Amino acid sequence: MNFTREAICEILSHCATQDLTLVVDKLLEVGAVKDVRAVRSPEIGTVQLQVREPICQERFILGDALVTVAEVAVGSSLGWAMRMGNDPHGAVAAAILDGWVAQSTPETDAVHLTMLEDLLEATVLQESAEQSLKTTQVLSTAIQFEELD
Amino acid sequence: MGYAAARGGLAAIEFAENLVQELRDGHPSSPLETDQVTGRLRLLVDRVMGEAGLWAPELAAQALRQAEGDVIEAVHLLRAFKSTLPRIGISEVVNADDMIPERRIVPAFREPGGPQILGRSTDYTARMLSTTRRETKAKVQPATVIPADEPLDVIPPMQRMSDVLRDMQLLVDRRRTDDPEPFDITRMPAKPPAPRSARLSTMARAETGALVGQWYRNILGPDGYLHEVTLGEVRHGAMPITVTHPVTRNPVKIGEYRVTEVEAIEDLDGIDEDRTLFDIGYGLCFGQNERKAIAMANLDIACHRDGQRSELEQSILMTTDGLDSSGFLEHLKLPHYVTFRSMIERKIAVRQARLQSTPTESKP
Repeated sequence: MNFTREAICEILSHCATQDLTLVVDKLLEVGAVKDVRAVRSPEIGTVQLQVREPICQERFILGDALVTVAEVAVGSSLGWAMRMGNDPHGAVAAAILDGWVAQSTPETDAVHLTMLEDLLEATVLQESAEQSLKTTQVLSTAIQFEELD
Repeated sequence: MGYAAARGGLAAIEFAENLVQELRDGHPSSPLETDQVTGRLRLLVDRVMGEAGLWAPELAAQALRQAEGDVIEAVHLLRAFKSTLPRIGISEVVNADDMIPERRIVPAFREPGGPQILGRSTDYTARMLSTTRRETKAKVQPATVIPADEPLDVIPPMQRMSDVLRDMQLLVDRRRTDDPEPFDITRMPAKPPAPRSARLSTMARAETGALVGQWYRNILGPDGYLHEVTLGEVRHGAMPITVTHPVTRNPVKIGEYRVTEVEAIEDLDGIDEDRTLFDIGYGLCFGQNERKAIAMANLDIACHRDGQRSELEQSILMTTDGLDSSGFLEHLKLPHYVTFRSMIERKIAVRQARLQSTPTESKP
């Protein structure tokens, strides 16, 4: 696996919910993921957003963001996920994958880890392409005003 | 207040509410889907989220649909919903420089550090009401002003105007060395004298029109705490949301939210100020809402220069929240029978007392 656990968490938080649940269902079906227990049922709540402004270098609270968090145990590993918005299914699926990755090894789970890796790589590629297109669009509006004498 | 001493009419109230729902949801046009609202009325959704203090585009769209497009009502619905939710965590503190800009304008300088980018904007164009559905315009090849050696898929670095002025030693240095906990206006109402973090939070959540109104009173109206305004930075872009993974204790980015950021440069000219320097006010709010961020930045520096000598801070803290002001205004529609009857009775009593005390005029 070419991703750190934090990188996996980050990508999983951006994956489409149906892609996540599809992978988890497959892993459960073939028995690669087993002994899953809910530690914290998916909970919808808020995360407070703090910003440090550049003038006085002071922190202030801009507001909150809506998130869904879930925690599961996969075997002896704790899996956690937080996703933007109201998305209990996505949060549980991502938490299962987080916990499973923590206790998997390339020796025992190589085939199934590849399945997850494919999802992660596809998501990264897609996001990268979207960001690249956006940046190109934005930079095409770069402007230099001329001063009139 | 006597408006609580009224009851009854439950059936009529339910019918009235049903009328709203049925005529809204039963309209013969195509149903309004949430993604239509978020995709086509982006600025409206941004405004609702900003005034509710909650980044939740889908919920804001649902609130707007339920409120039949009434912004204040949508803000009320979203903020009330938010109040039922637990606060699950606090994000890692994000630095304003972590923004990935989608727009950046520097009215103060022709050539600031980094490019000026119009982004998604109709500024500088003639806006005419389009009465027909327009096809997407043919793409125009942009006149590229990014140097040829810069890659076109990476936003070049942008030195903010406050740093430019700092480098020129033309800016008052107000950088703090301590790190006070920010004031949380959702837990306790901010009252003057309040820390600056409370003012910034209050303005970030303020009603856009109220904040613009405050700004206008100060720039052209009777208040006059603002003058010589020049904008340093007007930016719009995405900020990361990073939280701590509870197992590894390392940061994880879980998403993004968009903000508008403004730096407003003030020409210091007070007798107790260093007239060789500038100072800067700061504005930051959810979404793309430049009017609000500009007003906020201007009022931030106005408040700082005022130093709590006047009622400016009180005015910002106590009168710019849309739900506070609209809630108070709209409560006037509730039955006030008791208070008004007591007012009538007082009038009659005063009149009777006056009649009794007035000597009877003798008839000729």
